Amino acid sequence: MSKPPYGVLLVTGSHTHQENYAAAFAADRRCKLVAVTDEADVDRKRRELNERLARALGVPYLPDLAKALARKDVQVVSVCAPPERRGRIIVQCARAGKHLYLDKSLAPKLAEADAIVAAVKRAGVKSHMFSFITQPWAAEAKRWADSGKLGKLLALHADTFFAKGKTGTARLGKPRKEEYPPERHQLVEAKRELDNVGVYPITLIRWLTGKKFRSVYAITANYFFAEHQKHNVEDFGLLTCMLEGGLPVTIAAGRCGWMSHPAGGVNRLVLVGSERTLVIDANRPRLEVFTDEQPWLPPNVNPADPMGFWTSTQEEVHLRPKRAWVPVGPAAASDAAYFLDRLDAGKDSEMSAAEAALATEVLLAGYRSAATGEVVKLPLARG
Amino acid sequence: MASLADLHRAVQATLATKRVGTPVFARLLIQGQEKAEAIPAQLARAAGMVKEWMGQPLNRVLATGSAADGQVSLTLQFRDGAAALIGCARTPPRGDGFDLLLLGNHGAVYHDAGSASLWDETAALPAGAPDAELLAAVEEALRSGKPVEVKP
Repeated sequence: MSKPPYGVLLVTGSHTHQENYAAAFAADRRCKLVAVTDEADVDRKRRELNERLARALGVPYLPDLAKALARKDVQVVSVCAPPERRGRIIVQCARAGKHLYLDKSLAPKLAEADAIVAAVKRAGVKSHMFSFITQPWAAEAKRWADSGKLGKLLALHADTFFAKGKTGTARLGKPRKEEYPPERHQLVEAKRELDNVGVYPITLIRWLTGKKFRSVYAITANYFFAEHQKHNVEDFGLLTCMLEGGLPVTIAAGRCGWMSHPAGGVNRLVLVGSERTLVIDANRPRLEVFTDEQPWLPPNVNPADPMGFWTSTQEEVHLRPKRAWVPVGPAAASDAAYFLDRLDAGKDSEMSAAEAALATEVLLAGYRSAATGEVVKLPLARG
Repeated sequence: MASLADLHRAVQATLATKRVGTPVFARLLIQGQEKAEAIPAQLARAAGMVKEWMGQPLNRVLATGSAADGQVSLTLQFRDGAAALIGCARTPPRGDGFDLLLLGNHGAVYHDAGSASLWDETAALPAGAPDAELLAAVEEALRSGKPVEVKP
């Protein structure tokens, strides 16, 4: 078992979720940030962004991942490489014997997800993918789901939407034609939002029920943003699924614009039971505050990040927080703190790489379904 | 107590103002204590309402769950790309028994059962028979478990 203090190595820097994850690790007394690193052959732009985060954190930039992984003072690696490079990097880190804190979703290809799971198992390291399961409202949902008070669970419905981006620019009028396998996942201006956002309700439902997904029917769409349309990635996705034991699930997810919601976006889970229905809403309970201050307005568009993916780019355009809804309830501990708790206890995360790989499979089944118009059965065929 | 007909009118009036732009996605969840045999007609009426909001012909319907189990979800695909999820659950209702999330390309409309009248009641659907073709599509989708093409 590793013991604190944990030396944390950060793979990739600014303009990734590493901005947030590094801050969470830095705030935890059990950790010491060691360095930012990346693959030795990254392009100049990526290297500059990596160096920028290293400077901001006051740690060195080590330009060769292999050499950085050889350091004895590194016990944990936080991997936020772009999806297209993520799979091989995670495998490399696992082989180096480091515990893994992973950005979502795990990897875009099934073979990569399988390779990660195998590498983690072989190395005997702990792994964790960022998700919603560490949120207090998720814990509340879990408490209810396990309580038996809902009676027989008849269905689950989940909606997760990010209220970000300047909407209304997509051309409407015909269904999206999906590609399978999906090629591009993350660009400067757009991400595949079924993958990017849909991974949250998929992992949450698997965690809540303990059941695997057995079939998926999916629709992807371009409803909101010309940027997504231009790069042929969806801004909306819908999944109609069946879990083990015949439990129906529906999921809607995507990015739908700054002004579409009074807070960060819809984040809602409905558990339909034979005895009662439970609605878990991340935005409830809340205070609703009305004042004579200026109404909230979206920030100017940052060309380096028009969709508002990253913290630093939104600070550059002076994003103001939405303040009409004030959460009532316990503050969440960081997801990173949860992972460190598990390391302290010598336990694997409930959102380990193996669990995250199941979500990858559901997402891929969704893209295949959206491309073919058919219900896709799980597990997917290998090879 | 607001009925689904009241919701329908309010949504139509809101959409007519164009404030949320073109409607592209709806999630409607209906809770109540209807008998199993009433669920297909209930779903067909709800699908008819959503179709009016979208203002597009319905192309495809997929049903999951079963009326006998008291839980059915319909996935609707419209000709010009809009989509909808309609869930019908035979379960003790919350509030007025229906939740709505409707996304337009310039905004969103929400109705949460928990924001309705502060008592719980089975969702009240519009009176009258559902559209016969919609009902047939829903029944076929429930029978087959596969996506069903809807005749224009």
